[in-house]
Amino acid sequence: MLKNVKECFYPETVEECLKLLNEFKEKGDIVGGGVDIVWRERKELEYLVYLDKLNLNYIKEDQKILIGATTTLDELEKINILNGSFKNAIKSVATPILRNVMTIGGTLVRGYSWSDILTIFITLEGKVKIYDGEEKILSIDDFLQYKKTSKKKFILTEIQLPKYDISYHFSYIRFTRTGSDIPLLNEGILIKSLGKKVDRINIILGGRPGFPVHLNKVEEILLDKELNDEIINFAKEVAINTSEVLDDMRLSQHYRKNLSGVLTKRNLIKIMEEI
Amino acid sequence: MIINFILNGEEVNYDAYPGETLFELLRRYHHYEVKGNNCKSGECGACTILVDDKPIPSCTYLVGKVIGKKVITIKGIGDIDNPDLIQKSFVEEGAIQCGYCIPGIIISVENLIRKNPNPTKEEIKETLSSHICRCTGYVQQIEAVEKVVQKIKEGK
Repeated sequence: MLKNVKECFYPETVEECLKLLNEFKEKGDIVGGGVDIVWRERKELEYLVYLDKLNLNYIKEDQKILIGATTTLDELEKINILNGSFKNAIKSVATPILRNVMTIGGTLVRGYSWSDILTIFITLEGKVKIYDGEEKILSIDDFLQYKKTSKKKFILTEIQLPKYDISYHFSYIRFTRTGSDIPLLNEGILIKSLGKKVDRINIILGGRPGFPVHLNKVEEILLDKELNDEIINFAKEVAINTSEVLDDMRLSQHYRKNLSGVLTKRNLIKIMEEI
Repeated sequence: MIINFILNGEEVNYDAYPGETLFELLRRYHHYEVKGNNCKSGECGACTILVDDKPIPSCTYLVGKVIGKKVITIKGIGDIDNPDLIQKSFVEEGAIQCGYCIPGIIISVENLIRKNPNPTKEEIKETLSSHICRCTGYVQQIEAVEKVVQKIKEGK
């Protein structure tokens, strides 16, 4: 129970929604799925702003894949791209009943560093559309920076993914103690192949703890190469030696470093088999 | 605030606190309508109900989201005098011990079978993965769901 909440609002336009947020300041917040807001029980919250009347629950495929901010994660499972790997990545997040309430916008706005969704969408070069008085389209990295530096209130309205042709391959693995737990480490790899060679590559490591980062050295050694057992084992060693991971109460830095190598190897083997 | 929705087929109007969850509201008005509220984060699945035909953890679902929607709790599925096929099967297969998690599981299984009357073992396991049961180890629950599927196939 959010004991101090006095009133709920249902704006019908993003402008009206932003006006309410600016008026309420720290006493108001947006409700997406509501999972995080209920869990955190913030005492200062007095006003809840629901997005239900903004019609942001949609998935459209045009030149890009456009996903409305209040689309729940279970709806994302219907997006059949990247040979089913995107669907499988989404299905690995939390549990079925939680995916029925968690919204993609809410998950990205909270932007917890261990978030699976953050790692998946950075790997896939996703973008977000926000409204803070004017409309902006930002990469996820820029969005995280914007959140840190801007004092403006904003509403995330849409998430955009590029359209991938058959030369793109994606794999995502999360490592957790139990299926519904937050990941101790997660990694996504997106490869564009040219014949058997790696033409473009993103390797993103998240839950380090800390915001997801590229494994730059591993990306460099794999670029323009053909994937085989030898280079994948080499990539694993490079990942272990260069991954920027830290200690926390759940896992040691040493364990995380070795784990980053294992996740890199497993993801690359899966993609090699696909290519 | 006054909220209205359809609860187990009947239109209801309740005076709700704006910051309460659907679980808390149902517990105030219908003491045994939902069980659980173990984790308050949607992880354990004990308080699962159907909202617009989707199983959701009612402990994380704010009342402000339920306005105008269709809600089904375990009482809308069946009760001790008139159990539905899934409830009967769980009893017959010994899939219930303490019973704490069972209403939530029945709701999820009901949703699975409505949408997919012939689920695979993997799909059954995925559905049960929303629920924490520390008594049974899930084996009898999987068997109970498989038995329901078999009965539906045989038209019983």
